Amino acid sequence: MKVTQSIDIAKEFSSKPGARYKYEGDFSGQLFLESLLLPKFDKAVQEGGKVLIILDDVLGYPSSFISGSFGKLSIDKGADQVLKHLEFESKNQMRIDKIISEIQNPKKK
Amino acid sequence: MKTIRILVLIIVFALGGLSGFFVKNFPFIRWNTEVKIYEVFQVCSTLFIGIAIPFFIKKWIEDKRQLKNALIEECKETLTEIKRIRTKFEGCYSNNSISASDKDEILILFSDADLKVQNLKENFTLAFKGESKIGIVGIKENTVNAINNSYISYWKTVTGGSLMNSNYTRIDNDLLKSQKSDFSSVEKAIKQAIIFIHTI
Repeated sequence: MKVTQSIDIAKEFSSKPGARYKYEGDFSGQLFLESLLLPKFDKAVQEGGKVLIILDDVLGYPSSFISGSFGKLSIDKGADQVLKHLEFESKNQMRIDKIISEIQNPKKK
Repeated sequence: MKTIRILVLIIVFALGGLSGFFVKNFPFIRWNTEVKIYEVFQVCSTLFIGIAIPFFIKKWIEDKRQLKNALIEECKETLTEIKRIRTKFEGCYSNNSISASDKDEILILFSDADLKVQNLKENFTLAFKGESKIGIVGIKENTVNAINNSYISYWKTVTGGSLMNSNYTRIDNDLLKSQKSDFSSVEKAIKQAIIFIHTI
C-alpha cells in the first residue's frame, strides 16, 4: 500500500506534545487527532493508501498524548484498520513500539 | 596472532627433529628403540593438548566471557538510565512541586532511555542468535519481552495520567506508588536478564 499522506509532528504540530485532552493544556492528543491525524487518516483510507507519521525532532511523547490521539483513533476505527493505514518513521524504534502498543491495547478513559 | 601460531608449530617440529638427530648421532642416553603405537599416540596427543589449549580453547572461553561481560554491562547501563527518570520523578515529589520544565525533562529522560532499551534488546537478541537449545531460546525471548513490556508499562504509568495536565503541579501519592511499583518491575526484568546471562 502506497503512502498518500504524511504528518511530520514536529513541523506540522509541535515539538512538545502535551496531555490527552484539549482542556488539559496546549498541543494535546485530542487536538492532534482532530486537526491533523483524523482528517489525513480518513483521506488515506479513501485513497486506499497510508499516512506516514514522522516522529523525530520531538522532545518526547507522553503516553497521555499517544492515548488521546492514536489510542482514540484505534478505539473509533479499530486497531487493525489503524495499523493498516498508518506507517511510522523514527530513529527511535521504541517510540514506534510504544505507539503500536497503544493502538493494539488502547486505554479507554 | 596467526603468524605466531605458525612460528610456534615450526619451532616445535624443528626442536623435535633436532632432538631426534642428537639422540641418534650422539647417544648420551640409550633409548629403547622398540616403540609401541599407543606411546606414539600418547606423545602426539600430549603435544596437541599442549598447543590446542592455550591457542584455541582458552581463546574461545575468553571470547564467550567477554561477550557475557559486555551484555551484563549494557544491562546495568540501561537500568542506570531508567533510574534517572525515577530520581527526577521522586525529586519532584520531595520538592512538592513539578513544573513544565520538570515535565519536559522527564520526557527527555524517557527518550534517552528508549535508545538504551532498544540497544539492549537488539544486542541481547544478537548475542544469543546462534543458540539453538529450545529452553535457552525461550528464556531469551521471555527476557527481552519482559524488559520491553515492563519499560512500556513504566512509561505509561509516569506519563499517561494527569502528569502532562498543565494544572498538575504536585505529584500525588497514588502516582508515586504506581511509579515505584512499575519501576520495580523494570528493575526486576533487567536483573533477571543479568542472571540469565550468568547461567548460560
